[in-house]
Amino acid sequence: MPLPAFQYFEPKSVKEASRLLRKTGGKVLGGGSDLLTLMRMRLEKPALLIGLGAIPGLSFIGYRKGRGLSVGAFTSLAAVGSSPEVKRQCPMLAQAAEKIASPQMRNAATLGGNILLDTKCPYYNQSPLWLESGERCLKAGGDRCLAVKGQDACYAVWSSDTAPPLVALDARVKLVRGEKARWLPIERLYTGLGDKPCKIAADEILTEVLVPEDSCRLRSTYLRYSQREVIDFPVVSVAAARYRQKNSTHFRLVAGGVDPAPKRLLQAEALLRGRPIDKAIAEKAAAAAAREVGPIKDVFYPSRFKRDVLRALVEEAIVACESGKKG
Amino acid sequence: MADLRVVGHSHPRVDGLDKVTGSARFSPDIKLPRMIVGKILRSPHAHAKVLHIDTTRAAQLPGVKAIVTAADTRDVKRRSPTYQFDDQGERAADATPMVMDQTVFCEGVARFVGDEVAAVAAIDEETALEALSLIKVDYDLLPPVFDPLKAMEPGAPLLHEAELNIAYKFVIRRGDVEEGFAQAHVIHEETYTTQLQHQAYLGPTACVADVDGAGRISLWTELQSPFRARRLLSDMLGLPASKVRIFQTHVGGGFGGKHFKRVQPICALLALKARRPVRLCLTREEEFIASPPRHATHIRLKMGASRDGALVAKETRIVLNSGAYGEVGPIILDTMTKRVDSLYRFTNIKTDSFLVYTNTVPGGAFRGFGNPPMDFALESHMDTLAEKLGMDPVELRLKNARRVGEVSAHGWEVKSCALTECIEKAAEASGWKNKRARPTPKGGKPRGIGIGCMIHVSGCRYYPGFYGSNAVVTIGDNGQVYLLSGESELGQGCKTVMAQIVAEELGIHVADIVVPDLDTDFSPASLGAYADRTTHIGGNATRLAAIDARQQLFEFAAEMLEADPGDLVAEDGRIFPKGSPQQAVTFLEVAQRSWFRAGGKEIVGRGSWDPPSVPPDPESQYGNVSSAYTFGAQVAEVEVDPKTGKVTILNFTAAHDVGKAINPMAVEGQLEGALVQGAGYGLMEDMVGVDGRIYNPSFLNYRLPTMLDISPMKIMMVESNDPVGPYGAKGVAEPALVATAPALANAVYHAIGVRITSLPVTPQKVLAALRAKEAKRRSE
Repeated sequence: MPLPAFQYFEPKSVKEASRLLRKTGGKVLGGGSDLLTLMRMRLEKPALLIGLGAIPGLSFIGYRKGRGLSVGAFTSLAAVGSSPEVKRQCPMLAQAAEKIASPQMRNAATLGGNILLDTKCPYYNQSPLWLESGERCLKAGGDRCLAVKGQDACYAVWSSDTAPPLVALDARVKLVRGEKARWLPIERLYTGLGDKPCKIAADEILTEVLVPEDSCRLRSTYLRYSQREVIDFPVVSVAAARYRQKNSTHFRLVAGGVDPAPKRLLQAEALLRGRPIDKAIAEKAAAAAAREVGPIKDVFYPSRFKRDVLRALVEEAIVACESGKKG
Repeated sequence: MADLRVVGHSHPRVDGLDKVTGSARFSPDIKLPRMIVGKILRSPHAHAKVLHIDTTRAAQLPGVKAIVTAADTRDVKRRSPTYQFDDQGERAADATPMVMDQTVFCEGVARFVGDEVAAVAAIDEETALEALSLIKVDYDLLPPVFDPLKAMEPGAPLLHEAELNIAYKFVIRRGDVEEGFAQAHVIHEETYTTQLQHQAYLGPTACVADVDGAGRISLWTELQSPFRARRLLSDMLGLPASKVRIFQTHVGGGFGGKHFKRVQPICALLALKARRPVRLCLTREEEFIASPPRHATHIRLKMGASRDGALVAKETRIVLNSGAYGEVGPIILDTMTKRVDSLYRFTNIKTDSFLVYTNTVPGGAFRGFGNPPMDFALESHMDTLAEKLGMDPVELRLKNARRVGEVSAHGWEVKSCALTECIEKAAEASGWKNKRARPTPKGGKPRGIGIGCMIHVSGCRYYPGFYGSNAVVTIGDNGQVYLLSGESELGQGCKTVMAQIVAEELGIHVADIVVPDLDTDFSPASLGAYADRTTHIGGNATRLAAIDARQQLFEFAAEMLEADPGDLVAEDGRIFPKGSPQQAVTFLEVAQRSWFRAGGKEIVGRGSWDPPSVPPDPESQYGNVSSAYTFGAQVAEVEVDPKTGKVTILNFTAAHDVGKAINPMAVEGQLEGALVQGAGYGLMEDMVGVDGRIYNPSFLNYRLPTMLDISPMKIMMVESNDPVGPYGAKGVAEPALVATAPALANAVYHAIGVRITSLPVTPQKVLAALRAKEAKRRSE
């Protein structure tokens, strides 16, 4: 379907962009790979789009010792995936970025857009004819979730590849609204609600991501499962970061595809905390991870399958992190 | 035929440069002055009475130029491709067993989500879409039925005016099945299911229609069977066939999915009503929900084998989910019902097969045409039988393989067959023996190797009338040669193959030959690209046309050389008496003489060829349906991740009996493409439908394999030199995917010991089967 009609502005500053968003109720257009698809399906119908392309200083990758790795929100995923600096400081983020979709999509799509990606669900991401052809799910204006029947909350899943690594690395995001900016741990950006996954005000603009110094150059691994090597969103993904303080280690483990938000696997993390890591403990943690995620299924993937794959990925990621081998 | 100079040698495609430079025009690229845009309104209900369609508001929208509904159409159903004449010469019912139950729009009842209800033409796409939203349709919902096993029972909601939803049925009995099973040493019975697979051509279905001042309509579109489309359009529009002209554009992929569809008559109706050129192009979603994909099937198969592996009995019950309409369903069912029976030397056969209506997308032709699902069942079964017999799967196949000179249980006369050689070569080249014994390297993930075999036709006759092909070869005033063939180039490379044949016969180069795009006003007619017939049948017609032209040319050359035309040969652009090349005149000199001599003429060579095949008897279903049968064997090697169920293809080895490869490079390309499409069918492609809704009508979630999902391929062509085919050629492109899915499923079984009986073999199914196996082991 063609795009619906809309107005388009390219403000020259973040301040101006924020003002336009407040006044007009428009939406930010990053690379467009998510939003334009939703618009074609008429799932989003913004009257106005605010392009970020004319605003200087939103596309950059920089590292400063003591502060960490910062990446501008408008940086393309291709740039993130191929950046030597990202590979040096946060290899897992580069690994995640270079797995997304296809080279063409990565050239267009931005890191900010991937962080704010809408959740995906086969009962929702459909055309008007499809939605009309049967019961509507909660997110599409119906009464109940059709993916996880009997639920009165939306279980559309989190499918962004870069978010799990960034949550695992305890990244911060900078949100700007007019003259004011605030920094937020990325974990707190996500609501866990499938129908409104990101907690960001309509006139707020994500401008920068910072991976703090403590999270740079860690042993980390990002693994994703999808049926094909390219194009597909991850069905399940796992980001594992291994932190070492004095003689003790702990992991941050985050899964994608199993919840409406990037999901911290807290029980699995707890099992690993301060323990020597071997295959047995990795298996135990993986089993815990498979248990601790909520109801996860859709018409393509039964819950049992997703849990099994999550378990396999968590185990592999922990072992890979511990051994220092690249995932 | 040792001295062929052009045929049998790889040649780049004659349309290759046009395509790789991006200048080739496909049907969606056609733009005419004043052209407007058509859009189709589709039923959102799987089953509903259409009570009333109110187009008043849509018609008032500025920019809307035409609205058509069933009220604007004639009450004419689509016809089968043929008429039948009885003994007295009277036209009787359609000869081919098709159920032509689709009108231009659904009339009175919508039978699937996506059924065409109305269409609009407007000045742009946005206006057309808005107009669609302003058409008010009153529906009265009817109970739908989606499961074919339920739909075929009495009492199920009925889709058409009949007592049951069974659109067609075959009952086949050969030999004595009971006796066969009584003799069997091992018997195996299993149920197999297969999914909806979409042709997934990259170029969407599109049509541009234009009506001239005299009411003559022209269509620019992509068709595998343009002459049949002309006849159907003439019937459906109530126009004489002479008022319908079809221009074939480049075809952006067909695979069976670019035969006549509702798009063409709807576009024509819009153009007739708007009196402006109209372009109608389906969205990818429309392709998935309403363009006939490969049917889903349900197969119950029981087979017995004697101690030495001879197949002694085969009993099959097939349910083919037709979807909302019948269409070509009966002949796809025919293929499923009979084809594999001639692959091996079956004698005792009992088959009941049913084509059943449900409120789902109607299925249609797709590369392999009923052969892939049945071959998946048969070839999976063969491996289980081999295991029960303690035989190697290759050995069991060799034991039963069809051989040249035999007549199968259904009357198929096998005049060329290299099945045994194909099996042996594929096994040898894939390292079968070693890998079968030790599939998995130490410490690696489980690996397996599996084989699948197949048989197919080169054209499949269903009626006694002309089932052939026509071609015209003209030689112009400056020696330029034009080849007009009725065969459709849909990317399979037939223009190149035909040009090679003409070059061979005229002793010139492929570059000297122009192969214009097909135009139904000028091109001689042919049946179209069905049943892998183009090279075998169209090639013969083209060869005859070239020979006819050559003979005429030799008449003129003979005068110049003062020789007997019968003694002349044409080679490398020169014509000379056999054995005396020093006396040659050039092709150009002769062509010019034929034109400019007093009493000269344009040389027009004609070729018409009807294959010596016999349609199946309507009662016994016995008949030699094709003039050549094609065979192949494929071996797949896979690795399975037991933790995620993911199947990785490691190697493909394919050995195919091609008769004679006219263009080896093109054959190789077809085999490679078929392996990819077969791998998609085997491992990932699946139109997931629940309650009449397709959940993945896009290339994001309908997963086609990409180059990263495919392994290295070893391609081998075995030339059995068919006595009927041009230069010995048989069909190869269409069926080359038939054996791929079972080879993969057999390899998965070999790797991990679980047999997946439903396609595709997804990680979800593999993992669930592994869990079930583990649970069973523990409970024992």
